[in-house]
Amino acid sequence: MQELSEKRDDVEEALSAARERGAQFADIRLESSDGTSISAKDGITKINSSNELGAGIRAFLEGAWGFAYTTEVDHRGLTDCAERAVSLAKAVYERAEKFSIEVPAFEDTVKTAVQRLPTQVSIADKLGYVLRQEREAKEADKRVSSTEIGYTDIVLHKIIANSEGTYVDETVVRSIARAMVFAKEGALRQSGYKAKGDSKGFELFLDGADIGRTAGTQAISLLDAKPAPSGQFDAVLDPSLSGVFAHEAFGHASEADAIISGTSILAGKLTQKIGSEAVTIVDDPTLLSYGYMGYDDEGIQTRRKVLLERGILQTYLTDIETGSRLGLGTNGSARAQRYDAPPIVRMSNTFFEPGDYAFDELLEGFSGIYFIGWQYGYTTPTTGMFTFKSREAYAVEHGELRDHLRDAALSAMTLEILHKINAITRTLSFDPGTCGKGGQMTPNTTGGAYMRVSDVVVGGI
Amino acid sequence: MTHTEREATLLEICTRALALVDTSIYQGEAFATHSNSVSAELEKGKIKSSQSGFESGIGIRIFKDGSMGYAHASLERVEFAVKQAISASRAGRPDKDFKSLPPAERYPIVSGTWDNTIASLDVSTVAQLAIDVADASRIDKRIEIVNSGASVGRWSDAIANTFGVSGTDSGTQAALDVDVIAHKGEDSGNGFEYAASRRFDFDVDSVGSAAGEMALRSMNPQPVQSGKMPVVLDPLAVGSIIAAAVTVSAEDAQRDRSFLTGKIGEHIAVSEFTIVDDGLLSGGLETSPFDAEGVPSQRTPLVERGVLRSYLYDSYTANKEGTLSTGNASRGDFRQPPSISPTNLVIASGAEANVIEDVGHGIYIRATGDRPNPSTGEFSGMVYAGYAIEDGELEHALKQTNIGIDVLDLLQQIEGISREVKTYFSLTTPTVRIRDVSVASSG
Repeated sequence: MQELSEKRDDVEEALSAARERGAQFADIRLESSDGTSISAKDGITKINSSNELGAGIRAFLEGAWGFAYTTEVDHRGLTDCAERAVSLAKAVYERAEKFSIEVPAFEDTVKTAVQRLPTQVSIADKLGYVLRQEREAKEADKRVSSTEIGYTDIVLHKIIANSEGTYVDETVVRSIARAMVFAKEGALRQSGYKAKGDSKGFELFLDGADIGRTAGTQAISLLDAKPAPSGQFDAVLDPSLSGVFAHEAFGHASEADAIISGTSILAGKLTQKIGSEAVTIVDDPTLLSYGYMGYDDEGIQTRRKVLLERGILQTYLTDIETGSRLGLGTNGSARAQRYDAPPIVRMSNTFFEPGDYAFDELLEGFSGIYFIGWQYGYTTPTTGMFTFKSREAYAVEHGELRDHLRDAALSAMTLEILHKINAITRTLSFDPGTCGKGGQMTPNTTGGAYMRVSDVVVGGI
Repeated sequence: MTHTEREATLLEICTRALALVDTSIYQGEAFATHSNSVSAELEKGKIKSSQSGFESGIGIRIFKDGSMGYAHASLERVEFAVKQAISASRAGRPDKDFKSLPPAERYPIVSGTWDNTIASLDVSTVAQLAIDVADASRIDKRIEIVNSGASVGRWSDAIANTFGVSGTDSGTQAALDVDVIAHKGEDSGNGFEYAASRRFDFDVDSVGSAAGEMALRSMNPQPVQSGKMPVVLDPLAVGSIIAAAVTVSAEDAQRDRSFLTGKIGEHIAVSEFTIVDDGLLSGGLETSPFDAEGVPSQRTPLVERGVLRSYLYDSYTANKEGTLSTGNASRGDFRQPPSISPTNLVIASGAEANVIEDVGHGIYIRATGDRPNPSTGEFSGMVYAGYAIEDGELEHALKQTNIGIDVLDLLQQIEGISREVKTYFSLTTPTVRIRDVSVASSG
């Protein structure tokens, strides 16, 4: 790990250089990281050791941003990079929409508290965990045909500073493991998936909980699953699907850059009732889940944001630019994939607040489709139409689970379905994931409880 | 520094890195790269940001008894990267299927991959391109919102390994995208278009107006009557459904994870269907003299007149089967070790001047966000953008419409292939008509 703490003079001089060259505002993110990725595919291991050092600098001029990055982080490299960012802003600002920005300043040093710092755990121990998951997956059943276990950790040290006086020094630690397991019987092939990830060190993997066997068992159980039917059904979503719903179908629409660019269904809806009483959705970067950050990538202290409260839209996710333009102020929602990309408005840990039902009560008298686990999904931002493909599903008749179903898809319109959520259980749980936006990937968590919804479109094969 | 000088410097760095590898114990590979890009982004027709980046780095892959260790670093920290990769390779498990990194070979000459115009473009010109494509999309007063972006980049790469592989390459690329929303009252429609090229040769007007037309056409969506009907796949949908299904990595085939495992030599599609992976395609986005392991690029028929001919191989999967690599090792950037991926895919054109004129009642799919299940070959998905076809004409946009079909059935039910082809990124394909697909619409 490269030492960043002694860089303060270089950082501040680069920011001064940007101001002297004509930037109205400039900020810098200096990052150093150490990480390890391990994969085991059917016994074949690959170990990837990752080390990064670099800085990204933005310059703002009358509504235009210039962004440049560098891996040369000495005094000269940072100053050159700052000057490049200013030249970029100057080259285009006359063709930009004019606005000004307000920037709250912070000065702080924060460190994620972990028990087993990944950089102090041997590769052998990490590999041991991966191979144990592989063994568990294979032992789930003799029909398990192929396994793929992945492990990634990172210790990321950032300095975020700006021309308004912010100087934040933050170290975050993240760990994640994923199991993808394939099963085969005759010509039938199915797969199962399980992941666990948090802003924790290696202690995350010492609790005995396994992901390999869980994924293996799911793959096996799907071998005798039937294709899903098509049509309109009532539905129950498991926590992983309700979490993805909170993130994909609602959360992205609440990002203020989409409000400004005219691509969100939530534009103009603040303080309006857009969902049922049962529905409260929160984005909370302060939880030590996979999407944790103490400060965002613009150096703003993060906080819990209630986006939707009992059906009423409370706020959007904002960064410095969008918060200034919308008059809401920033609520600390700017994130960048790495030093070489500019921060944009992003979610962190996004979830439905739990309700007061027990799972049995939710299913009482219910007929429809019970969806479990998320494969993938997508949303049409301008209309709010979304489709999620589940990992597995059950047909339910009068509260009894009947046929086991594979590849069942669920689609609906966000603004309609929020009114149709009529019951949520009290068991909140979270899943780690990776979200892509504007070509940048960030670690996120989605969460929720079991949720009952009336009248959605189900697609099968 | 010219790009030829840059290549020589990068190759020298690779050679220096490999000199640190004890070849009596390890096999090693070094990949070094330097790139430069400029981009601009427009929001609602106004410039929002411009970016420029220089990136350089080295990726080191070391094998010890088949156990792979990988590390990357900036070009100033080559020795550190080599040490990290060696210690990672020592920690992993031996793999008896690993034989060797590829040997040195002569590389083919490729064309159309470098454009001096792109290499010398500044941010102001790139920003103007984003503005021009936005202007071109405003073909009607209902088009209210336009977001667009443009980028150009150039790069030089070098690769070397401990078996004498030694290669360098440079390239340029430019890309353009535009996203348009049309409004009238409560109704709205979304349209988009992309273009990418190794040369600075965009027809900005046609890219912009295509997005505008799509937005207008997508307004006022209606369901269609459900049932089995002909489905016409736009080139973009051919990519996400057909091309995605039939380009199978040898890794998935060997691990029995693909529905096409064991089907080499079988008639999996109608005899009019041919798809080729062509790493040598003149001006192709993925064209280069060699792949990410330094294996010469080649042209590989994957499905030829309906018969499945090949999977995509890198050197590891080829050695495991005792065959030759197809040159399909690929890497996103120097931070990642190579993995198997298609190069440029080309689907053969057909005979039809108009693939929709004989459709009485069917649908046209412009885009879907779904993809076939790679292990079962089943496809079920929502039409992200599509239109009804009535009496040979495109009619209203589709509302909440799903289609479902097994890809092996789909390939046998291809009944019309257009004469005209279109290139989207690295896929060149005609428009394709499939008979008897289940379509369900609601809402």
